Formats: sequence, C-alpha cells, structure tokens
Amino acid sequence: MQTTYTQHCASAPLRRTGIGLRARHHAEIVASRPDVGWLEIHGENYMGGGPAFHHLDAARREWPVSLHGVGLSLGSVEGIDKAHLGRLVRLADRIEPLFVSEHLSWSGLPGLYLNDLLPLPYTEEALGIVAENIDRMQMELRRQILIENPSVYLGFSHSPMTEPEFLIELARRSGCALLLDVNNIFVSAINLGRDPKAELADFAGAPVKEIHLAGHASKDIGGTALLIDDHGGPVSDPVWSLYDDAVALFSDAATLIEWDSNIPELETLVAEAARADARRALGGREGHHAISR
Amino acid sequence: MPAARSVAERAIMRSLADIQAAFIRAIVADDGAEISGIVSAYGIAPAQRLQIYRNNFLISLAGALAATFPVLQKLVGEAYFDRAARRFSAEEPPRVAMLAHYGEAFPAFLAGLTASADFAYLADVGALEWAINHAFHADDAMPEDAAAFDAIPATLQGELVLAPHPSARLVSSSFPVLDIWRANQPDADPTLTIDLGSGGVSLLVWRRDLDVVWRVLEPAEAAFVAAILDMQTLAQAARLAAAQVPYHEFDAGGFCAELLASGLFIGHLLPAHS
Repeated sequence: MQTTYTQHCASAPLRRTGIGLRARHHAEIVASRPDVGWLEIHGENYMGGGPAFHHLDAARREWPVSLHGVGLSLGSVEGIDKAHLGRLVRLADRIEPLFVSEHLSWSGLPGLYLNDLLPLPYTEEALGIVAENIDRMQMELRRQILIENPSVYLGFSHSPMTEPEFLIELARRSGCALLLDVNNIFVSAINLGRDPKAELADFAGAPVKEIHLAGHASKDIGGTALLIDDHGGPVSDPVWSLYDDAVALFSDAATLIEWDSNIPELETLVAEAARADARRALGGREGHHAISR
Repeated sequence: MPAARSVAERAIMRSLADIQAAFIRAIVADDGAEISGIVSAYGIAPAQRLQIYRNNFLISLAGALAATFPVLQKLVGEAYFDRAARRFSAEEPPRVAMLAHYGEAFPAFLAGLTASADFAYLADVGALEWAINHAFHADDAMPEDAAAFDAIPATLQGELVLAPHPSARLVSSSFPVLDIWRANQPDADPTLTIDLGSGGVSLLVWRRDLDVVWRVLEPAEAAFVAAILDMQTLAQAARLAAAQVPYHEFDAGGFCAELLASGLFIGHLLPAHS
C-alpha cells in the first residue's frame, strides 16, 4: 500500500510552530485539525503497525511530519544497532519526513537499551565515534540528519571541548545539521553551573535547522536546585527569553513544542505553539527592546 | 612523577568504552564508585547526579511495564508492582529501543517473586496482557482472502502451511484468565469475585483491522491453532486437534475457513515437491 502525501517543501522556512504528536491526541488531532505548522513524532513509537501507524498516516496527510529518534544511541562506542537503524529507515521511507533527528547522547550498547539520553565526555575520541555513527545513519537514510544537544545532569572532569564547540565541529565533520533544544541548553547550563545565555551565544553561526521548546522541573538536592528535563509543563520564562535569542540567531529554524509527561489537552499544546509564534513574530527582539528602554 | 596519581589523573586515561561500561554499572547495578571519579561536582555530589540517571532508568521502565500490564498492577497493587517492576528492569533491562517490546518475561518474573503457588495465575494473566499488547503493536499485514485457497487443489490442501497474521498469539491457561482480565477493567463491577479454580481457558488473540480481538477456543481448536502458529501443515494440525477429541469428529476444514474469514492468515506455502 503506497500512500501519496501532499509534498511539503522542506527548504522553505517553517514559520509556524509545530507540536509533538503523542498517542493521547491521535484521534483528536486529525478530527479537529488544529492550527499548528507541523508535527514531530518519536520514531520508536511508530515502528510497528496497527492504530499508532494508522493515526500517524492520517496526520501525515494534513501536516509535514518530522521523525525524531530517541533510541539509536549515536554515542555508543560499539556502534549503532543495525536492526534499529533499519527500522528507522523503513519508517522514514513510509512517512517521507520533513527532518530526521537524533541526539548527542548514548543509550546503552547494542543489545542493552537504558531508555535514557546519557551524557558523553566532549573529547576527540567521542567526536570521532559520534561522527562515524552519524555518517552511517546518513548513508542509510540517504539524507542529512539533525543532531540535538541533550539535557545533562552531570559533566565529565575531562571534557576538553565545550558542548557548542563539540556540536559545531561534529556538524562540520559529518555534514549533519543541528537541532537546538533551548530548554536543554537552560537545563544543562544551570545543572553544570554555566550561563545559559553565553552557552546559546556560542552556537552562533552553527547550522541550526530546528529549535525545541519544552518545560522542565526542579529538584532540590541538599539545598541546590537540579533541573530535570521532564517535558511535563509549560515552557518557563527564562527559556522563553533564551528562545528570543535563539530566534534572533537562527531566524530560518523551525520551532517545535514538546510535552511528554503530564500531557495536557490538545488545546493547551496548541496555545503554547501560538505563544512561540507570537514571540517569533517579534523577531526575537523582545529582549533588545527591554534593554534599549 | 609521583607513584600515586590522583583519581582525576587516572581518569583522563579512560577510553569511552571504559566510561560507558562504568556508567552502565552505575545505572543498572547501582555501582557508581568507578564513574564517580570522573564526574564533576558543581555543588551536587557525583553520586547524587548519577542517582538521577538511575532513577530515570528505573522509573521510566516501571512506567512502561505498568502501561503494558495494567491488570497485573491492579491485582498486586501499585506499590508492590512498582517494586517488582524496578527489580525486573535492573535484572532484565530492555534489549531493543522500543518500549512496546519490553516486558514479555515480566509476568513470570512477578509470579516467581513469591514461593507461593497462589500467585501462579499472575503469569498467565500477564501472558494475556502481553498478547493484547503484542497484537496492538504488531506490524500491519494484508489478510489473505478465501479465493486464494479455493484455487489450491483439494488433494494438496493438507500439505499447506499457513502464514499467520503477525499479531496472532495463543494464550492457554489452567486459570480463568479472561474472566480475571474482564473483572479488572476500569469499567468492571468492583464487587465481582472470580473462583481461581473455576477452570482454564485457551484464547486466540490477534488484530483485525485496527482492533485487538480474541476468540475462546475449545481444546481441539487450541491444539489446531498451536500447530498452525508453529507453522505445521494443515494435515498435521488437524491430526493434533483430532487427538484432543477422540470420540468426536473435529471439522478442521470448517474451523480453518472461519479463521481465514477472520483475517488470521496472510499467506500460505505449498511444499516444494507438489
């Protein structure tokens, strides 16, 4: 069964914000057709058949869909799982995604999946391994992929490169583009005692094609706050402010709202996307106006 | 150079392979002693930072198991289920990056946590929940229509091997697992009680279009289906079914036609010599 989708031009900037498609909204989204720019899926949830793929197929007829992988483990020292890459390629062939993206992280070893995006030391060795795995992924998919900066809860004492340096060099070597998760920049910077604004500024000039926004939680650990990237609430004010900076730097990047735990009513998600649209319409200049006043 | 190097100096020499092996020990076995030596503190101790990752691992997998086995969770209670699920996750972590495929061995693990035979039924209730989960997520496949079989000469039909729909699973239990499953659905009558000794059941579970469906099977039908799912020929399946009902005739052809009409088969194979 070959589906014919409306062709969407991936090179045109996606001015409207998209939302993550989650099972809870499957039936409603196709029935109510909310006014959002595009959708993104976690590929691992659509690698079989049945109702999940059926709903995705229906949504894909209405919107461009981006394929976001969470389980390929591009940072695995033993390489990536061939079978899993095969499933991702098969899904990409089925839905003709707008973007295909994965994370700068690892999730275990072939045959062991820890269901998390685990941190890497930013060393020359890790750079070589991730670049090689991305190369394989891009070869199999026959297209460029986007790599997302992760949320981290710890740093390694021997990371000679900063995360922006590592990602920019990774993009240069492998030809991949970047998915800048602004919430992750905030969470990681706070957790590692860095300045989120400076961290974001270090990405200037990077090939960023997509921006993620999400909520986070805060956990008190012996009087010190550790931020947890739970995607379980609205985008926080400091992350909106960071988003203004990101939009100013990467005006052509497409924005997506992610919400994965305590998933709200669809209308709440749509309203969050509209909020991103409104901030973007100001060209990310909100902060600059504030300074000039 | 001093003979005793600091922890950090030794750590610098670590390869990514060593780091990942040590990180896995911290998460799965709760042994973060080694990896802590190369984690920066920034106001929060390395052990506490590693604990975030271990918690994410255990909580997210226990949540995935709860989503797949809601009836088991109801039967043993949330707190007990959560402890058992975390223990299972640490002992048998997922092998593939698809959570819908995780937990087939969990029901037997849960039932085996206690020596008491009173909980043996949990393994079978869980097997039914697993079959439903599997049917929901299984690959799509186009059912074969009856006309394809009509074209096969009657003399060859006994030699046919039928390819079942990828969603199909047979669940057989000496406990009334379907009654238990039904009584523990969100909309079930909470005053209902089930006698565990009221007899067993065999169920064929599969997906028809987008719906997970099942059919309760008689012993002969169950033997027939077990043989079919094991890719035995129709003649072998009919013989195994007939052995279950020595004093009656089993209508293998009629039963097979019903299964075919229910979308259970997606193709067939004829032996090479025919």
